[in-house]
Amino acid sequence: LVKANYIFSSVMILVGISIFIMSHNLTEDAAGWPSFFAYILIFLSIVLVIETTIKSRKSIMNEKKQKKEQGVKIIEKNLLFTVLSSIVYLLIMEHIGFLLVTPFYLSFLLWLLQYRSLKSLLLLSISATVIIMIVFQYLLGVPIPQGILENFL
Amino acid sequence: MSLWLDAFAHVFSLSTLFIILLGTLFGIVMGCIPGMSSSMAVAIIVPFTFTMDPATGIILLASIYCASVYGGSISAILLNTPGTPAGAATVLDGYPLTLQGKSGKALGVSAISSGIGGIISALILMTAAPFLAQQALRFGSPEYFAVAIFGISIVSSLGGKNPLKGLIAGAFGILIATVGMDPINGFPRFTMGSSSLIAGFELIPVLIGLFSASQAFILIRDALKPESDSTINEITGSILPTFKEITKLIPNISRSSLIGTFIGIIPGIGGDPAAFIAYNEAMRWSKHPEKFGNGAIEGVAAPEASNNAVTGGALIPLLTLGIPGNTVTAILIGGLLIHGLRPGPMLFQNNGDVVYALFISLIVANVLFMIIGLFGVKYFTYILKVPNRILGPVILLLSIIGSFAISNSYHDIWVMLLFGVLGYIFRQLDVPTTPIVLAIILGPLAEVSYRQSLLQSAGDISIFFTRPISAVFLIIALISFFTPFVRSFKTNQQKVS
Repeated sequence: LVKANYIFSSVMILVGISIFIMSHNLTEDAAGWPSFFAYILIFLSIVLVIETTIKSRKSIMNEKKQKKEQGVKIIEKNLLFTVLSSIVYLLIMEHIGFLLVTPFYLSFLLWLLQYRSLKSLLLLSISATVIIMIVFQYLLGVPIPQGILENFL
Repeated sequence: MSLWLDAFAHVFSLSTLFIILLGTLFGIVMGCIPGMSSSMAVAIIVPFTFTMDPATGIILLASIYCASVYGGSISAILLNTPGTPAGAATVLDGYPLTLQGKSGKALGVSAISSGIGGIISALILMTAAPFLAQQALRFGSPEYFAVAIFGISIVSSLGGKNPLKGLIAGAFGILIATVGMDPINGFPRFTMGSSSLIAGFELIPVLIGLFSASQAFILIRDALKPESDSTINEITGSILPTFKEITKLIPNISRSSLIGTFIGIIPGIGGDPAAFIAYNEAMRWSKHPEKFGNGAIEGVAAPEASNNAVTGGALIPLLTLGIPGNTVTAILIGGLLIHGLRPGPMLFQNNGDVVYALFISLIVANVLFMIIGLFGVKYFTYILKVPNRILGPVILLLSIIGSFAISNSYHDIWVMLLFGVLGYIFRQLDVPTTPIVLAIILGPLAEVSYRQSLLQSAGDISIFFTRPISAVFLIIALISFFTPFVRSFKTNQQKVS
């Protein structure tokens, strides 16, 4: 967590500095509030760095914790593929539509999560997509991205 | 009076009762699945209330909130894992009762205590909220600024082990809220030339991302981890407690309900500490404190009455002042804003029908989950068996549809995904996400009222300290801000000594 705290603080300091720099392009009125909180964000993040450094020096459990962190990282590969596939899904869905792309997306996610039976994988993905489409679009009146099927559904 | 009659007519119409039933069922389902939370359950449904009338929409969300808190006790008792964080105290005696073959009794008492806790807090809400809202009508810009600062000050209580991280998340949230047009002059800020960002980040996609999508990511991440050892125990023994058993528990349930309501009113504390405090009090008042932790039925009744009583209590600052005291009430603000309703004293003036219908629906929802809990709890045990690898993708898909549904905008889906990833990373770093939402909601209110007040006073900041209500709220804000630091300092001192 020590390393994570450093990275988190650094990112927050960068956010604070960026807001502060961008505030210079604003009117004095509009810049006051965000600049003040950018200062606060930078200040608090520096305090977190100092606090983490002091605590980490006192801690003798570091090695054990690092081992635990490594264990978690291996499993997180799934997550990376989930986020990447979601980005690809959104990019394609915008043009082709929910109904045609979602079964592939769901199948991929389930396959990623070790669903290896092709029959149940397809059945689950297609039925979930159709049920969602019927429930949301036709029963609840919630709009669903139509894509190329816009004039047919 | 006519508002009450209209509200009765609205709530007891078939369609609204059906909506309450749906919300209650969904809430129990979401509450009883370990890893889900009330906030996730409410956040994912907010966009789908858009097509409903405002009263029905908020009634649905409130029903989900109440029922999901109760639902957490089902897995706490049968699985030794609380479905929601608020159910953690129920595990202490609920699971030992299961091991003794008395899970039916534990579930029955849990349903009744939760229901009574919720009803008592709803009655207090109905009595106190209109009066407080009446007082709050006198507020001007300086008072609103002080109230917003008070609301924001609780971020230090939401930091978990490290209050500093809560503050950083809060400051980050305030900065996110500044993206879009400057609220006084309309000057675009930090939009980076994007027309989609002129209106700033929409609250609902941010909420769905932080609470639903990030939860889906966690479920997906954990889907391949080896199953935990906990097995789902069968329900054994009679669920319906005897009249004598219930009358014995009434003082305990009443005390715990009052504790829960009071803690709910104080922003920043939430359901889990309320449950533990009520549990401790029940043990202190009990003639047999040694039975606690080994399967005392009072140890189930107290936390359940208390954590459900928090629901009504937490709605008091939300409805009267517009301050969300916990994560779910922050999300409920999203449910109100989606219909153009801003919580606060004016809500009682302009949309009394919605507020009074909400009051009555809370009682109906509590009665309903009590009945469902007593007679249908066995069906919910099947849901405990649904694996994470199905739940994760389904929740992610619902998050995508929900974000799109609000304004048919793909931009909102991207915002949801961005905040989903951000929420996940923050959770991994032990940084709480609730302060971000709190700051996004209250930041703009604080900025507008601050700048309006200074315009009124020609730049003199003493306006915030010379007006009594504003000064009192600022003092309370200071106390609420520093309390977690003092507590953390004292704990460290105790550890050292």
